[in-house]
Amino acid sequence: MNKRILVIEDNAGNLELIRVVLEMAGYEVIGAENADDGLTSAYQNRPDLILMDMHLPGLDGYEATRILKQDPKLKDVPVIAVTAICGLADEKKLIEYGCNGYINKPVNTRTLADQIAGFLEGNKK
Amino acid sequence: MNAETGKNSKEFEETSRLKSQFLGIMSHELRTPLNSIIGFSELIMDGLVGGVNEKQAHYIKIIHSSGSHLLRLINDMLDYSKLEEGMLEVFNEPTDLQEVVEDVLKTYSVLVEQKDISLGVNIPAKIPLMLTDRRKLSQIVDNLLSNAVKFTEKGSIDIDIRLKDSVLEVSVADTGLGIESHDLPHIFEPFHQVDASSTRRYEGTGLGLALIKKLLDIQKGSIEVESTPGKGSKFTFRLPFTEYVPPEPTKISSKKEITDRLPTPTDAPILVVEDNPLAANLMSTWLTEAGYKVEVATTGEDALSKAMALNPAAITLDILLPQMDGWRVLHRLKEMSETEHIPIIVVSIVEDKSFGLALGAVDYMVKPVSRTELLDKIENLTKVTERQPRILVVDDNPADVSLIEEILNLDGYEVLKASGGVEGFNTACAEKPDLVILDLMMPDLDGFDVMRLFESDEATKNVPIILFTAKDLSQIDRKNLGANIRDIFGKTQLDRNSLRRKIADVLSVKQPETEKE
Repeated sequence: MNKRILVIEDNAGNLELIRVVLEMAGYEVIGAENADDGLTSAYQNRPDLILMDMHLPGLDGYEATRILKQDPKLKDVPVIAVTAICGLADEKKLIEYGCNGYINKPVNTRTLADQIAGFLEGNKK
Repeated sequence: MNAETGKNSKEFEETSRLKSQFLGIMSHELRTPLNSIIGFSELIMDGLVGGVNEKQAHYIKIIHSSGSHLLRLINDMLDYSKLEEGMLEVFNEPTDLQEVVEDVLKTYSVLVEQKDISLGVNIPAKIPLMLTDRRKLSQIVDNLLSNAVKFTEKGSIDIDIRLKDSVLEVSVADTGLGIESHDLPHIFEPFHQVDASSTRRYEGTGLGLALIKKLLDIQKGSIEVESTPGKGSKFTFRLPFTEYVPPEPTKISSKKEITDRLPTPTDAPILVVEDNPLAANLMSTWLTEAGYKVEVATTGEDALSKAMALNPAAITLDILLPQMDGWRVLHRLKEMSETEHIPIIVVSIVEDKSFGLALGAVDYMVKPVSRTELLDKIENLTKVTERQPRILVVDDNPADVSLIEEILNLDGYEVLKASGGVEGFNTACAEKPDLVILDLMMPDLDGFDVMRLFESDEATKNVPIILFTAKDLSQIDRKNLGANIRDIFGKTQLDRNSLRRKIADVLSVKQPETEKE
């Protein structure tokens, strides 16, 4: 069965881009354009991994991650932040809120699928 | 008067802070649409979404390279704003200079070809690994090269790398436009662009050189420039060179040494890595009361150096540290042969056990840590440090292996397994077992050959061996057996308790003998 990835990203273009790249790599992709929809979708669809844009309108990616990590049913789903990391301060913030990893923005279409596979693999252990 | 000056400088600081903040936010916002521009053009370029005609392919390339260029500018701006806020940290790691230069050159090879420029690199053949911030070094070289390529239409660009008196000196010389002497003093100032008219021809933020200067400043480096208008420019930067010295020539021998001088748990301190003084104090008190020696490190760097110097029995590692965070510290500790054996307990407010364990931590505590939890975990760990003897079983028959393993488990030994002679030897080299139980009859390499291999190698020649064989024992010429063969045990006469006794005997005489040597 194909792994299911929930992508929470408010920019429609970027969401489409990630969807295309991941679908070509054989993943099932579910999209959400804001954190509320994303959280609802996470409950309904039980993804294997969540790609989370951190700068979302309303509830942002950090808070959304915190909520996910407090939920006993969803806390084990890896949340990978998609964000521009500029230094350790940013990294720390991600860790603090419970992200399991991050992918630098802009995403590299040539490596994204491998990165996701890596995170899925890492989570198995 | 003074008050006025004070007020002005405060205002200036505030303005500067706001400017940095603005840049930071802008950079984030700018990257979002860029993500789509670069990403989709990449998909089309790579032919992943169907074909395009030649002209379209050309335009897509332009879109992609302009997008990438814009991204670089944004990154420069962001870095610059971080530098101004004093928020950019230096992270030194072993760096291969040749690799850094080659990686940077790759991005420019196409541009250089288009422009009729010859590109020369002069780098000493045997330059050692440098302990430096690889990303920043690459950024500096990248920026200098980008300028050289931008302002040079034909001729040459030469990169020269030298190492003199612990200083790394890198120069990038071009045969380009050159810089007027009245401009020279200002070129490292932010937002300064040489000759306003040239900005139309040469796109840029005017941040590149200022960024380089700042990056070098924070690493105690320097940069200078010589230039003749119309002839070309030569930028030379210097950085203090610290050679990365791998702790020991080989992993195996360093491991051996550490095992030999590993102090007993009560002697070796517990290293508490914690930046919050209250938390550090509390943990120290608990541990000291329980009879442990305690050392505290308050930053990641401090932790690394203390771990190396003190060889602690265990480390508790807070994740949220200033500068180098705990994950990096953990990674580094597990990377260095002097520290990789030290058990580490990660202490974090985040419940992310898998990450820590994947990076090599042995245990995990979530803040706030309780006294009993801390002491329990430390007690467990220091017991582990005292560690059970490790026994390597080399046998091609899985049934025999599991049988021996069962027997060994009775006494709590750690069991390593190898199903052939070569594998056994390799495992012994890597793992340094306290004892090897060796089958004499194996398909790839028989036990006698394995014994000879063990004897021939420094790392394994003192490891005691018990032979395990289905052969009639009388057929084995005992005189030919090496000194490390401590006992022979027949598979047919396998008796749990006598094997256990033999193993215990061999292990108990091993210690004094090692000391005598």
